Amino acid sequence: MVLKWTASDTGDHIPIDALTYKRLASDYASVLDMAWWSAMIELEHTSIADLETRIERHFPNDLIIPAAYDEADRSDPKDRQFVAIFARRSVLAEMNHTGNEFGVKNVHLGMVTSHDWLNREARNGDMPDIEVPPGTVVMAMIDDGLAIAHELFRASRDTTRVEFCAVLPTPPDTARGDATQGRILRKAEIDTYLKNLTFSDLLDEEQFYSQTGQTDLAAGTFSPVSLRRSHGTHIMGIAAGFAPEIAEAARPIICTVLPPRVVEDTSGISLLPALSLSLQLLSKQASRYKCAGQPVPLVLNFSFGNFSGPHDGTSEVARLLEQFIADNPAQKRWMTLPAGNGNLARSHGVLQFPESCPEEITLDLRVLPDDNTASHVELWMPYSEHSPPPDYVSVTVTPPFGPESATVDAREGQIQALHDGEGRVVATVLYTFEPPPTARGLITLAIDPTASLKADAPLAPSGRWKITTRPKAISADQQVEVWIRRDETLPGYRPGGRQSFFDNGCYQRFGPLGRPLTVDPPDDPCPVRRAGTYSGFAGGASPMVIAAYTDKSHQLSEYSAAGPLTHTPMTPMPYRNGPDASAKADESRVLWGVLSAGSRSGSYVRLDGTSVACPRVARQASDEIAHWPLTAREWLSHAVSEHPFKLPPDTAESRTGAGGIVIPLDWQKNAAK
Amino acid sequence: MTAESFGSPQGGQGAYGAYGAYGAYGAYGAYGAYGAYGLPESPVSAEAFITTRDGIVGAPLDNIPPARPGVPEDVRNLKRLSREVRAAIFSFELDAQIELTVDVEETATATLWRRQHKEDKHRPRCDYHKLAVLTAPRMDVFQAQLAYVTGYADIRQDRAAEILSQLAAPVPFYQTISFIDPQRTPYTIELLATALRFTNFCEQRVKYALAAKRPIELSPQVQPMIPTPTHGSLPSGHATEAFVMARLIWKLMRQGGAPQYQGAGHWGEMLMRLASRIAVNRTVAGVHFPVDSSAGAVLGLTLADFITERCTGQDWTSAKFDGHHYSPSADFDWHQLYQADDDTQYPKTEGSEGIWAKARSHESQCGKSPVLAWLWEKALAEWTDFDPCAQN
Repeated sequence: MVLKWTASDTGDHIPIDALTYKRLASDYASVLDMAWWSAMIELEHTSIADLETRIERHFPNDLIIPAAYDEADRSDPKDRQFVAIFARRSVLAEMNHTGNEFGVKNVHLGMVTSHDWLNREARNGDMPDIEVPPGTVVMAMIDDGLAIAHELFRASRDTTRVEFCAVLPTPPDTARGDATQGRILRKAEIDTYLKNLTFSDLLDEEQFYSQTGQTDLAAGTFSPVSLRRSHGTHIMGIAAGFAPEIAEAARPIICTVLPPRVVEDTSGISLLPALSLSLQLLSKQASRYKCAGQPVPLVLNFSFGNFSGPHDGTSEVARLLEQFIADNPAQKRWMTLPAGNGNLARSHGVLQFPESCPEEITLDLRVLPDDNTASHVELWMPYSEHSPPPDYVSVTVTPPFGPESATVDAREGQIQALHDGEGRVVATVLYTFEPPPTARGLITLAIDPTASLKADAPLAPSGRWKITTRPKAISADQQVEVWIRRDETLPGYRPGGRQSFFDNGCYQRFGPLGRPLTVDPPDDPCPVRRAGTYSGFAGGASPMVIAAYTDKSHQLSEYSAAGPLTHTPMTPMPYRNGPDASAKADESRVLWGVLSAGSRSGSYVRLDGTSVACPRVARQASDEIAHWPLTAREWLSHAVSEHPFKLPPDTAESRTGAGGIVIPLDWQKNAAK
Repeated sequence: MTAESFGSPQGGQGAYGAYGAYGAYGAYGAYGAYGAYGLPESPVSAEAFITTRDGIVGAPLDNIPPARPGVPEDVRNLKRLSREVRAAIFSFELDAQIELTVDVEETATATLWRRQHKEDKHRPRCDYHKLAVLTAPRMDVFQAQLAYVTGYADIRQDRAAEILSQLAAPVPFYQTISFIDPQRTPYTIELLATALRFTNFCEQRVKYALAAKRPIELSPQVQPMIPTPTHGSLPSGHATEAFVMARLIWKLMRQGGAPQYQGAGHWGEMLMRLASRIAVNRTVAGVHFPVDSSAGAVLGLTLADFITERCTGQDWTSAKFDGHHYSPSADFDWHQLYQADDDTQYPKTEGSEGIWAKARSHESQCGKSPVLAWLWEKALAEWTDFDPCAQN
């Protein structure tokens, strides 16, 4: 393969974001202009109603604001707000111009959303307050594949504890007309299904999930609830499961089911619109639960993470979660997030250029063959208050068997594109500036898939790519943080992505006894690090972020990702140095995972990861939130001291936060009031 | 010769394979003992018998007391017959009751008829009644249902162990719900084997008549995870056999009178859920459309009732599957066809394209087969609780 680098001309158009209109499924590359995309936009000093009016003038039929935003939401001209929308390409392209007239500061594309899944006529119905007894805490969940009919979520054979479940990936129920995308199931409706589909005391769950919209195997909408083990079900079992015999009434569940096709994009990028819509739906619902006129507390568990992002609390997900927590100041809202599982993924690099160091640092990026999805590496520059920021470093990229690119500096307009023998672009190195509050330059290396079933698809070469960084205006105490975007294929899904990783020879993988090293060796000169593999979603100030430990060995689980975070621009100190605490996620080194609900009633399956550690804290938090006067993270720190789990004394704070916490899981025991 | 020859349902895959698969069977009761008792059939043993006779036979006797003649057409003989011999007799009793006609219009319709004998001991005279009528759907239904086959392929990794274990008739799966074991319930196993042989006899003939193509012929992307059997797709043999087994076991449980099997129908529901799972697994594997399972369930439930009628003289059910009214978008849902707690098929099953299944119950007009009744009674006794008052 003959490869050649060129500097592409971006012209006068300076995009806010590289909206490519391509997603994992390569078919989307040929999507019609009339297709609807889910997107999340960030508005500045603009109300949703104003946005609608302005868009209406130019594009009368190309924008849908979901019914989840009521009149009050639409008329509020907040300083900044994230809003989930559905829009056609023409609108999105206009919004993506710097200085556009709509007040849009940023656009993030989700997925093409089938016209059949959208109900343009949907209206937010009446949402009267729901009076609940003292001691009630609303449990909120966002995940894929929630087997809500499992007995742990029922109060009896045919009554559910799930008060509200928005199933996004399904055609709308136009008769109810209350959801723009998907269906909203409420308790009464779920109870009717449970009653009608129970035969000889046994629920026909295949029919239940088919009739409630979670499975439609003929439509190609794969759902994890078709599998024995589903992520969301398992996690909801830990956070909010109670045996039906005790009919727990004080932990009503509200939840949304994310579309599998955004979940399968493990980079987390396609997730934003669906997550933002989910949070809006849950925020409106949560506010309805009141006791003596006051909203009751809420605990939300979101067991998702990624690898990339600025890692300083300013990523879109981090800020979106903060927006949810602050959305109703009268309601106490706590949230649990996983620390991430990428500790040993070799997905993170730190580039420092002290006086004594060589003039360049090279990261060897191993891009795997048969990778059907694109691979991305993000090099985040230090935070800068200057505009434009200093030109910190220059980067060159050398593909396997190919020539080294010209330099891409950390300044606007810098781009290099790698062409194959037929002149098609197969990789790009591009500088962009992520505006405040992030205020960091970003050099992204985007590599096309190395395999495709389409005969004419341009393919990038697999093998070892060299990313060489040379210092320019960077000082000795500053550093460039590098993350590879998460790109693996989740169990049951089929995008065919393969996770690339840094393959520098200096990275010491194993310790003296042959076990994987779980922390970087002291004074390690290697730029590839375990420290800093922490999830890019979990940088915000408010959520409780949970690492994973292994019970029998009294060690943190090997995969449990570590801080520190990068310097946070808005505060003198980072919001956090890593997770807040660690909780049980594995029984032992040989018996991985913990048991919780399987996808069908009566079944219990094993799952591990920081994903299953954080709902355990959510469960405990729901017992304490009403009485604790301070913040969630302060409560957790206190709770760790009350119920400590013994970990080796040298376990770094950046891996376990305040420490391990013992939280028993007993589905037969009522929640604390 | 193997200990059993139950025929080979599922076109050579061997429903019977299930018995082999099922470990303990090799040691099957009397057969194990027989192996220990006898010498193998070989030239050596034959030579030994010859020389033994030569050695001890003695001069011809002339005053041996006369033996009685055999008792003709009497079920008491059955227990002295080998199981292979009984299997042939049971098969005759069922197979001989069935006729088939085929009408080919836009698609084929296969009608299984059952004989109804008239009074005449010396010469067969009979009427025929429709037992099961199956009309194949049009190609557009199969074409549309490819979407299901593709969708179900997503869960192959989850189901692979089940699918491979169910290549043969999956009797061991029924053992997980009903207490069936070669030592404990030998006659139940013999009854089920009889039923499966008969079911295969009927289903293969219907499949041949309808000649429905398999998913692999409609798309190169199905790529089934097991070999596609050579016989037709509709009705699904696995679905037919699975529902025959489920319903027969359920009938034995109900009629056995043990209290846990009465009432709410829990065992029946579970047996049907299992039958459905087995049927759906064939779609997951990529060798059947959901509509094949629906047709198979109609046929299986109907044949189970017919077999019971031949064994007991109880009511029987005739049924109709009309593929022309089967909605292309309909997945398989057995609950539309049958209610387990009172063991009845619904008179009508309607979808978005109209009524696609019908069933009607009939009183038995011709009495039971004494031979099959013998087997049924033996099997039923295996499901009956002992009377605590009758101890000693």
